[in-house]
Amino acid sequence: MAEGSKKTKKKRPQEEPSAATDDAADNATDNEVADVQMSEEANKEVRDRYRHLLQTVQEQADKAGQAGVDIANIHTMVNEANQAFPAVKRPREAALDAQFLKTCGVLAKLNIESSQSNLTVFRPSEFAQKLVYFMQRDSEIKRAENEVDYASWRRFGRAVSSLFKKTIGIEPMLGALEWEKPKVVRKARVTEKDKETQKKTPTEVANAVSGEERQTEEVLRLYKILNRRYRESGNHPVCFFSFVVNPDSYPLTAENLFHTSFLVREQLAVVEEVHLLLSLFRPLLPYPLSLLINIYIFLSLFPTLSTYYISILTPFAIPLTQPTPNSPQLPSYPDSQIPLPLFHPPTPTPTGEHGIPVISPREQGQATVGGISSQCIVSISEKEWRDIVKTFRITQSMIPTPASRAKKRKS
Amino acid sequence: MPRRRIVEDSSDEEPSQSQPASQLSQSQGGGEISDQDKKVLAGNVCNYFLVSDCKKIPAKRSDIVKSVLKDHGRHFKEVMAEANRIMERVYGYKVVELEKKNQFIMINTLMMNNQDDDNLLLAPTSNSEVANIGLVTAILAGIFMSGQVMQEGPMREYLKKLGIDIDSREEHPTFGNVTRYIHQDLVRQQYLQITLNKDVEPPSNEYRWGERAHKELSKKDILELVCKVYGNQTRPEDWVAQWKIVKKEEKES
Repeated sequence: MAEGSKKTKKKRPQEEPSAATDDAADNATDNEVADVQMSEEANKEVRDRYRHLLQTVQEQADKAGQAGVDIANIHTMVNEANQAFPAVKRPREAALDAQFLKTCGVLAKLNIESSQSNLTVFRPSEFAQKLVYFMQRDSEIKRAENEVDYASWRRFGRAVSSLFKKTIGIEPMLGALEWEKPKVVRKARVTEKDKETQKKTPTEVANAVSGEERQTEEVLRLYKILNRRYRESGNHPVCFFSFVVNPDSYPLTAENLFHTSFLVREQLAVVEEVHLLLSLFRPLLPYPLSLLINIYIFLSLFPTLSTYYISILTPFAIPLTQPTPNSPQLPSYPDSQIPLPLFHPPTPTPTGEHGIPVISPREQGQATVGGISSQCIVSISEKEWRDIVKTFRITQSMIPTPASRAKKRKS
Repeated sequence: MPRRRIVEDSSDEEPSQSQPASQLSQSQGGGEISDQDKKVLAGNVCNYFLVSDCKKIPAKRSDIVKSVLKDHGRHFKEVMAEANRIMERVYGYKVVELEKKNQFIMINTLMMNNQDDDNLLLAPTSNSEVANIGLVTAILAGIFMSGQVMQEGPMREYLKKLGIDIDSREEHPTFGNVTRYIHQDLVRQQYLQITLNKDVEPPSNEYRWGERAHKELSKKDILELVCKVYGNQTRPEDWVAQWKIVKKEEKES
C-alpha cells in the first residue's frame, strides 16, 4: 500500500520502512482479513523476488571476480530491492532483504578498492613473500621458498636495526648500586705442603751432591789411585788405558777419562807416550799432557789397531808431536812384533815414532816443562772401548767403581 | 673515598659520584634534598636504568624507590629529572614514561639526529639480538600496513610465509621458542601489544604495536622499508591510508 518512492539512491531512506508500517497499521483493521488471506501468497512472492535478487547478485559476483561487480549492476539490483521492499511485512523477508543488501555492500566495497590505484591494498601474504625474497636477495645459498635462514635474518636485522632508537644496557661486574672495594682476604697459609717438601729434601740433598764437589772428590780419588799404582809399579808410569778404562762399564770409563783430564789440566799428572821395551830414562816431555798426540803416535805404532783408533783421531786437530831435544832415537818395531802393553820404562820418542800413552802422577807445584801447553779432545766410543779392553786385556779397572754404580759387565 | 664513575662524554661534564646510599646525609626536615645527595642518587638511578635496560623490561617507579632512593622516596621527581638530564648528556639516552604511568624505558636520541646510512655505527645492537630485531621489524611492518591492527588469522598466515609457525612448540632454528618469544617476551618488552578479542567466535588475538615500538620506531621509516621491499619504485605516498598516518605522526613530533 505504501508507495515506495522510486528514488535512485543506493542507500535506502529511513522513512520508507516506517511509512510502510504506518500505513499498514492504519489500514490494518480494514484490510485485515484480506491481508491475511493475501499475505501468504504475497509473502511467498516477496521471498521469491529476494531470492531471485540474491541469486543474481551471486552470479554477478562470481562472474566479476576480484574486481567486483560493476557499479551500474549493483545499482540496478538495489533498486529492484527497493521496489520489492514495500511488500515486506514480516521479519523473514526482511532478513532476506538485509542479507541481500549486505552482499551488495561487500561487492561495492570490492569495486571501490580495485578501481583505485592498484597497490593500496596491503595483502600480508604478498608482503611476506616479497620480504622473503628481499632477505634472500644477497644470500649466495639458494634456499627453498619459505626458508629464511639464520644468516639472512641476521643480515636483515642488521640492516633495519638503524631504524630503532634502541638503547643498550650495561651489565656491571660488581653490582650497580652499593658496592665496596673488595677486601683482600688473606688466607692462612696451608702448612701441609711444607711437610711434603721437607720430606723430599733430606733424601734429595743426600743424593744431590753438588756436581763440582763430586768432581773434585773424584779427581782427588783418581789422583790417589794413580799415585798408589805408580809407587806400586816402582815409580813407573801407568799405562793410560789400563788406568782409565773400566772393563765393566763404558759410562764409567768415560767418567774416568773426564776426571783424568782434570788431573792432567791441574798438572797433577802427565800423559806421555812411551815406547815399548826401551829406555829407562824418561824425562818430562817439553810439551805436556797431550794425550791425543800420544795416541796418534800409538796408532801409528799399531797399524792393525789403528783402524779402531782412527776415530779417536778425527776430532782432533792438534799437530803432531814436536821433536824434543832430549829424546833419543829409537827404532820402531815391525808390525809382527807387537808387544804387549805392559809397564815398560817409558821413553819419549821423537816425531814419527810411536808409543803407548802412559800416565804418571806429579807432585803439585812441580813446574811444567817448556811452558807450552797444547790441548786436545779425546774420545773413546763404545766400540773403541770394547776393543781397548780386548786388546789390552784389561780385566779389572784400576779405578774401582763406586758401589752405587756397579754394573754387570757387558760382554 | 667516593668512587668516580668514568664519564664517556667530554671532560667538562661534571662527573657524578656514586656512593653507597648509607653515606648520604639525612634529609632535612623541610623535605628539600641537597644538591650533593641529588647528584648521588641520580647517579645511582642512572646505574639502575642501565642495568635494567639489559632485559628491556620497563623500570618501575616502585622498584626504583625501593632500591635506590629508600628514604628519599618523596624526591622521586627531582631525582628522576636529574637522572634524565645525566643520561641525555652522557649517553644520549632519554628516559620516557610509558602510558601506564610510573614505568620507564629509555630510547636512544642519537639515532634520531643522524639520518644518513652510516648510522649503523651508532646502532647498538648486540650480535645475539640482531636476528630478533629482524623478526620484530617484520611483524611490526605487517601490523602497521594492515591498519595498525592485525588479527590472529592473518598474522598466522603472514608468519607462515616467513617460515615461522606461531603455534608450534618446536624450536625454530633461528629464534628458538617462537610462540614464547612473540607472545611473552615481545609483549613484556613493550614491542607488541596483544589483546584478546572476545567478540569474535572463536576468541582470537589482536596484534598491535606496543608502546616501545611506538617510541623507538618511526612509521615513516617503516613505510619506506615496505616500499623498498616491494620494489618497482613504489613511493610511500602510494599507500594512501598509511601515508595519512605517517603525516599525522610527523605533525605530532
